Amino acid sequence: MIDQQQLAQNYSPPRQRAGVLTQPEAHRAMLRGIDKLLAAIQPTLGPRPRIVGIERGTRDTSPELLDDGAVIARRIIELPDQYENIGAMLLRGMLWRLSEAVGDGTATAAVLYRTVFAEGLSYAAAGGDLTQLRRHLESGLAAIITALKSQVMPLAGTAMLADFVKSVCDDDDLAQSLTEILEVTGALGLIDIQGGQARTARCAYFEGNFFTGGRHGAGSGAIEFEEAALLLTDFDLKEPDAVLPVLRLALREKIENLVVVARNVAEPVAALFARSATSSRLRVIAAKTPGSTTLAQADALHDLVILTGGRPLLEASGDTSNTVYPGNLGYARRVWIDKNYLSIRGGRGDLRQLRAHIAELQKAFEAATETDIRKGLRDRIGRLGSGFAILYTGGSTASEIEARVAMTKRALRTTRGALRHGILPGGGLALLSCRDLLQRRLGESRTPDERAACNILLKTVAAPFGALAQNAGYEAPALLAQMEHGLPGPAPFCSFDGIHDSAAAQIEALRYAVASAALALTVDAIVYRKLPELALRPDGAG
Amino acid sequence: MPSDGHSRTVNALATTADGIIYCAAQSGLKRSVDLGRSWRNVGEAAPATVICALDAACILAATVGAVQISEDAGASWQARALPSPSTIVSSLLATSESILAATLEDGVLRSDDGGMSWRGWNFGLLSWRVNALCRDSAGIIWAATESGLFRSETDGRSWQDQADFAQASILSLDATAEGGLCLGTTEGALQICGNPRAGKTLARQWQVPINAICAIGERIAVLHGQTVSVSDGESGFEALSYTDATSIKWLDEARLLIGTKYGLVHRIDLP
Repeated sequence: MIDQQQLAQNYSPPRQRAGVLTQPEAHRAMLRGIDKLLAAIQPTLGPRPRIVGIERGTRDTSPELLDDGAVIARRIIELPDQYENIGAMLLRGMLWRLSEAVGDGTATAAVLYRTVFAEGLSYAAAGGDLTQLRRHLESGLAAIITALKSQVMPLAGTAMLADFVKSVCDDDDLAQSLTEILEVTGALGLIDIQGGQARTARCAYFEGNFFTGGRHGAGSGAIEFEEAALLLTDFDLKEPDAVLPVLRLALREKIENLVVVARNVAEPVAALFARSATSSRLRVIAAKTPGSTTLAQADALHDLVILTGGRPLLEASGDTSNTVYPGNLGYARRVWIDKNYLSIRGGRGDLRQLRAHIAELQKAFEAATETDIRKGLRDRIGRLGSGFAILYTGGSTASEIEARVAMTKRALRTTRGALRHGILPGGGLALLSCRDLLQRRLGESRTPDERAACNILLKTVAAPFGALAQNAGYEAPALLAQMEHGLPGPAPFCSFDGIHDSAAAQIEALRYAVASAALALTVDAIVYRKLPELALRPDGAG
Repeated sequence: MPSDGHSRTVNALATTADGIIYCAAQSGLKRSVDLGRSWRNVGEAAPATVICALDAACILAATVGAVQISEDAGASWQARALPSPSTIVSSLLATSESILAATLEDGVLRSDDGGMSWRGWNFGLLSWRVNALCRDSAGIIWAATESGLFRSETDGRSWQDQADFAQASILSLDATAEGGLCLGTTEGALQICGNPRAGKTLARQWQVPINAICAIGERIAVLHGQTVSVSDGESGFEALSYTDATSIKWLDEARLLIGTKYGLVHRIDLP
């Protein structure tokens, strides 16, 4: 964790001055800012990606090692020059939104954004109309996206999945484990990525429907009940008297193992349940209602009811423990619980209802656009899918472990996107293939603005390939000419056949980059206010 | 085999390429080396529900709470305990890496160490009452459950719901030589799918559950209720005059074995 006091001492806020910057200085300053941010991100572009080290702000911790363009951009809080900073922050914001939406493609987007912006400035310098240019750029963007969508192919089969994961994370061992875990759990399975000391990645699989929350009370060990009944509530159980009707019902129904799910359980109630641990007639354990918010708890209770049958007792419905009857109880072949998790195996709910419920959640997931909602729905679908997997990935130092965990999470996010939305030829080739379309549009263009937009887009779709070639130490035009003449390119460009990109990441990277850069081009003046020093101090001290 | 009533019910039959027949009965495991003319008890005399011959030497069988494994053509058996609480094994299948045991309460149990240890392996398997397992000619493993059909393209490591069969309670299934599947439901519907992914085709409707299906070449034998019907692939199904049947198994394309609830195994020679 960063020492805030030390960070404050090491941090020198840039000299701020109020003012207005007009053209052409405003655009030039923005471009310098974009170039500075791009210089930090471009090395992460494959097929030979490199890592960027970022100082943490304290001298006694190792630097952060990153290969994710969005996170690198996020770490750059501010550039020293206030006008350059405007350009950098516009790019930074776009990259973060893209990362939140699709999880990958940020380095490509940064390259595309820079190309559109820089070429647009050249057109502006020649007296072009940037507002009209923006309109034609957006029209050309729509045509390119249509062309890209026609190239999308499904990511299917083990070999293809393995190749794709390898191209995303560039790590054989990790790719093998990630492929295995995705094959077992499916694209929407519940997967946790954890750091470990071993360099080799390892998968662990756990059977059952896992819910977070775990048990109430002081015990930390795991308990497993066979043939258990479950009473699902969102109650705060404060007095032992409140649970007596439940216990009487359980004894009457000859239930031997009972799990009471409740939001809170007071100490006397927990003690009453604990005394049942040695009972031969009825063993009871209290589990926390899964979920951290009221809405999440309601969702989890709904899922548990579908899995186990029964009917939940809800405060909002006016239910109390006095109104419990046998139909309220759900049942499961096995219930496992420890201090963090509740796991149901072999729930006795209606399978047709369960199947319909999963289908509804999948439909909602497909329709959801907000990242948090999508994640919540994906976790719920994963929880109902009978298993949970952990992928351990690590290294020898804290920085290495952190970097590999981050890379694994990103690779997982990207691969899930590719499984849902398909893949495109990698290495910038999908974008390059759109040049024919743009050449045709150029030939049909009637206005200078339209022609300028086509020329800018022609350079833009070739830019990622150029950056890849540059990263690998080659001259892009020569390499392109060589490949166009059917000559084998040098490694790694000779083996692009097996390299693919996530279609969602590529298409969204293009959409975000061109639309944002076209908008940024229409910024005509920059107004900078002098901020009070207080707001610039990270520690909040005056 | 001598008949002494229901306690000797023949639950399953297995055959090897060299013509040896194995039988899992309520009275235990039996073996015949003379095409069913005489039988000898092998292994423990515990009720056996399932038997499966992997090759001439390696035989798997399921008894209460355990899987029995013989690697010497049934001469000796080793019991491998299944996890507690015990459950009934409905089907056994060996893959390249492991042994899968379908159960009526715990889904599919998997062993990667020759049966020494078992664990539930039910990723994607919504229904844990698995009535039958089979592998088709493409290597895909199919699981018939009380709530639909599930498919595994990962040697039983994960399962996908076959949406077309979601409403069906499937009791029995077998793969055909052409890469299709035959499925029998508790409602007595026999479905034969040339391509199971492409959907289902109702082939025949009986009024009783289809307890077993056995396909070989063009021929399909169906155990509906306690009656056996056979189709040669061209004409319809013809009922055989054997009642009280509890299990069926093709010895080859011309000979069908029928186990009964009285402990008898009939060998039927078909034209």
